[in-house]
Amino acid sequence: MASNASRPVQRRDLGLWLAAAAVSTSLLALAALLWVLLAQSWQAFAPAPVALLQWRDDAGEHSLLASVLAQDEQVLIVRGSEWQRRGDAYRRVLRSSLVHLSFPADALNLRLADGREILLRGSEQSWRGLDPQQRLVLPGADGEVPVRGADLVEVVAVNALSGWQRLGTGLQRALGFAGGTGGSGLFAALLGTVVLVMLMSVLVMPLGVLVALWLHEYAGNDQLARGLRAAIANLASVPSVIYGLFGLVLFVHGIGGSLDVLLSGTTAPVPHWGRGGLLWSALTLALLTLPVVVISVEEGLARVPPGLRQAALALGATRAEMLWRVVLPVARPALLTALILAVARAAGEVAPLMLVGAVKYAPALPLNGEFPYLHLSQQFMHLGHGVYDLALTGSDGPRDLAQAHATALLLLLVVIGLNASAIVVRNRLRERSRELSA
Amino acid sequence: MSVPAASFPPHSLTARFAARAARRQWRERWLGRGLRGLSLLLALLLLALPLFLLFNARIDDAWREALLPLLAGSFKAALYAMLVALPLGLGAAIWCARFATPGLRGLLKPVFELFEAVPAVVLGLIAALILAPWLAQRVLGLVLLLALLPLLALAAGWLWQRLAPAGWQRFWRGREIGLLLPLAALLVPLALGLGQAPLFASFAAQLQPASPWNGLVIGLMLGLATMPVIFTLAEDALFAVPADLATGAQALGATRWQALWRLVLPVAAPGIAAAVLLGFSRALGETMIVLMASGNTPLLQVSPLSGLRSVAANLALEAPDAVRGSVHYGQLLFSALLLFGLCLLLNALAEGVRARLRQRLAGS
Amino acid sequence: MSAPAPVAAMPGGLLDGQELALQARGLSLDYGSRRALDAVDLAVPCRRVTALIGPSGCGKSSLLRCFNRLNDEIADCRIVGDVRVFGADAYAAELSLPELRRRVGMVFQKPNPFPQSVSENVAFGLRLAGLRARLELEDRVEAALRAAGLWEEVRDRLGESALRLSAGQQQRLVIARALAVEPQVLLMDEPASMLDPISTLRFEELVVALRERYSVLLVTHNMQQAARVADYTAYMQAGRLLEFDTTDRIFTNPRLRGTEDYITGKLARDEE
Ligand SMILES: Nc1ncnc2c1ncn2[C@@H]1O[C@H](COP(=O)(O)OP(=O)(O)OP(=O)(O)O)[C@@H](O)[C@H]1O
Ligand SMILES: [Mg+2]
Repeated sequence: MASNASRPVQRRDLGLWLAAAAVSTSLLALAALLWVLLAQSWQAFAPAPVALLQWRDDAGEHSLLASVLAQDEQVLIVRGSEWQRRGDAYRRVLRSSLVHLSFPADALNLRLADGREILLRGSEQSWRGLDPQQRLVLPGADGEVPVRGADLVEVVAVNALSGWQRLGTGLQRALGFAGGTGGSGLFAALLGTVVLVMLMSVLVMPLGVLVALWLHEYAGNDQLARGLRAAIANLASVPSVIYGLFGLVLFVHGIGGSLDVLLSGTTAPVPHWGRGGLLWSALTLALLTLPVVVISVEEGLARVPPGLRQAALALGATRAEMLWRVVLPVARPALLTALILAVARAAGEVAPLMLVGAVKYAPALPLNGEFPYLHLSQQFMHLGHGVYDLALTGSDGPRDLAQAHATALLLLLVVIGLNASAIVVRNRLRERSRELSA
Repeated sequence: MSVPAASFPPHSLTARFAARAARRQWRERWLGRGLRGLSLLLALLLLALPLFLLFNARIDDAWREALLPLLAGSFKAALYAMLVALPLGLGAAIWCARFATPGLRGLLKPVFELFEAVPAVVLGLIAALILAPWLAQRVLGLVLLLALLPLLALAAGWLWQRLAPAGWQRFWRGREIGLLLPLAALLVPLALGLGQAPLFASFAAQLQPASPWNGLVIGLMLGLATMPVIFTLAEDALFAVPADLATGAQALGATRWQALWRLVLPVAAPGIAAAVLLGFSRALGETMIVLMASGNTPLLQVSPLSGLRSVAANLALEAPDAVRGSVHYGQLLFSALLLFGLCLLLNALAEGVRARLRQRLAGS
Repeated sequence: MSAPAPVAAMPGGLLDGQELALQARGLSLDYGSRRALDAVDLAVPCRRVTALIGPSGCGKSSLLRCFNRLNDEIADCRIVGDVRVFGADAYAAELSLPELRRRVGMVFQKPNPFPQSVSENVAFGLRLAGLRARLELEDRVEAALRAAGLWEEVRDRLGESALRLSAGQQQRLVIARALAVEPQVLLMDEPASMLDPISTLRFEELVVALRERYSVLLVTHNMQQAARVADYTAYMQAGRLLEFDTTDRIFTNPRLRGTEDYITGKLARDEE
């Protein structure tokens, strides 16, 4: 009884431990997600050790120089030299059938420009500094493969690497992947994403800002304003794939289809505008991010101190002059926040793009040196869409899956970075408006 | 201008202002009109979007059969997701808004806000490639984990309040998750290992899913994705309840939890209900996670161990190749219209409920 | 057109024969259903300082805002009565609002410089007039700053943000900004309430100097200030203008008890 009296408050306070458990579980799940993403991405670039294997099976005895990708008590998953094609040399080897397994220090991993990896033994120096034009012949198991010096992008003595060197090589490969233009580089997807998002910003920012200005500064509470406010608030709750469908029906088929008919003069033209493309995707995303922009710009306008508005008006400024010379400059950080939030939202969206123009492989970049430089009607590649494609339709299993994770990690970094900066800018803005009105 | 200029010595600026007056006025008038026109255009466009869907949508009996599993799939995915998101989101919201120290709250809130921004395709990727195959072997372990976790929390709390010295208790007040995190982290391998113990082999075999890509995976990942949505909205609602309400009660001898349960939750209830509705709407329309990790088989099964195909995922899969104007196209638009209407309805409900909350806060 | 208002300006013939800058007759103002001004009659003579005193919430700011029609910005504010600026109806339909507000400048209780440089602040109104030439702008900015007695202090800081000035400097900057567009009347709404005693003194000197060229209507809670700078003083209470007279008479021999109570009895409490 005495102990109860001394601590009465703590007694049936167990519920809050359940709430704490919810936070702990969420945090653990978050950490697990991040860890998985990081670990898997590292798989894509980590230099795998090269083993000399000998094993016996029904067909006789085999010997192979191969990268060991994964192993457990029963099997090794290895990849030999890709003499012919990327992704054609995977093998499962049972541990029970192994006769010999060693990791020779002079094993080399050569990477060719098309993504193939060749495993050899020899000295690293002799493969470095080759004349780009020089044709060389790799001594392959399945015959000899001619390669030019220029095709050789990386030579690593994998087994001799120290821990730091492994990390360095991995990071170098990651950078090469992120900026790579070849078959397995992200450059096209990165450029597609950037061009798309920029085009979207150009479309949505003026519209969003002007509409927010009208709603906040001119409209008052009339019918149109109330309707528009409700529509925009509801727009924010529409699933993104529905936006894709809006884009498909209205922009691609509606506007694009009619444009084709107009331009070609026939009733059943070859679709040019009437298929998914950069412009339609940007318009769709602009629609999708419009609520974000309008709502955060309105919030910014509301934070402009009324004293400044009155001062401008009292000096004889018209409403337009007050907005242009005082309100908008003061609200500029809010416009920036709106832009960042819109970009962050758009950069991570994939579902609508699947309907209006992102593709697995586009032969040309959306922005290049050919007139008219920016190809609005063209289909394009996209980071998020790339993740989806690599994950579900990749041809070279282990590599594509790992690269899908790496792509996802890049996308995540971009989006989180944008959102974090929006939070920082918004906090600054709040402080500043407090200063202004203090 | 009827103000007599002669009543005062003429000013040099007066003429300059007079010269520009017409132009300024014209600008002023046309800016107002232009903005109004633009807004009107936008309003028309927004109105046109659902109407466009409506005019092109089509439905027939055969398709109605096909639509049913899709709708069922959407609801199955969303409901299982809510089973995960509700306890996590609401629990975390309650903790952050009412129990956490201000510093901890300032740390946790942005973390969850950033989590909300994680692209769905990233979560879908992990769900499809990592979680699904991994979980297929460990369903029993997961069930055990989910059962043991709350028990562990309760037991830890009980022991702590019984045994820990008052000074420690005071220090950890508002920071209890610091104690719980390592415990929970320890429990995970324990529960999973237990699930794979030979003793439970027959149980485990019964829980073997038909396909790795199933409702369970969707529930977990979609639930995680929805959790921050519910968290942010519910946390706002809970935090908006004046603090003196709870402290007053505590002064009268109620525990922190009792104060929350009896005083704060009833006031914040509409906000929390709105959070749940919006979270459900989000889960219903989420595309990428379901598309990548559900197997996309249109089944009419309630079991979490079987796959599903949702309306949204179906749209993403079939709409790009649908021929414009065909029957199939019209049918897809019909399903989209259905989803659109559902989400609007949920949003309107949430808006209505939230208006009640605002009234209540203003009244109290 | 240019004749001064022919009717008796104020009861008792106090301002007879004087040219009037501002005049309100039978002016009532409602915020929604709440009446803030009730049948106010007030005349503000040219090139004089008129002080407006009264307890908090009696409608002084509301009255001020009628003269430059800043009340138009308040959604549920309705006005009945006659407001004249130099004899012309300020609420006439064909009147140009920006021009009216330029002529009737206003200084607010809280200094509200724009978050721009000092010189940009002063040039704000000039740019509205379409002035672009740098030399002319600089000249006019300097003239306005001199008129506001700020030039010596900020001549080296013209490019600096106005928010970095002290409160007293900011208040004078705001006055300079208003003077730059060459107004004829200055409405001042408790302009010295946030200033320290020294800045307040400087400000009062400035007001006396401004009297040379401008008509000033000054709201103040500081009785000594009113006594020091004003030629005429009006006393308001609960939305009504109760007494208007020369400052001397108001402070020495007010007609009404309420005025006397306010000036003497409440003095200590009101002055903060
Ligand atoms: N924008 C507004 N909307 C509604 N009521 C208002 C508004 N502005 C002022 N009022 C009300 O009108 C009355 C007069 O206000 P006003 O600001 O004119 O008083 P004041 O004499 O300037 O007071 P103070 O000396 O405190 O500045 C007050 O009761 C006030 O509450
Ligand atoms: Mg006032």
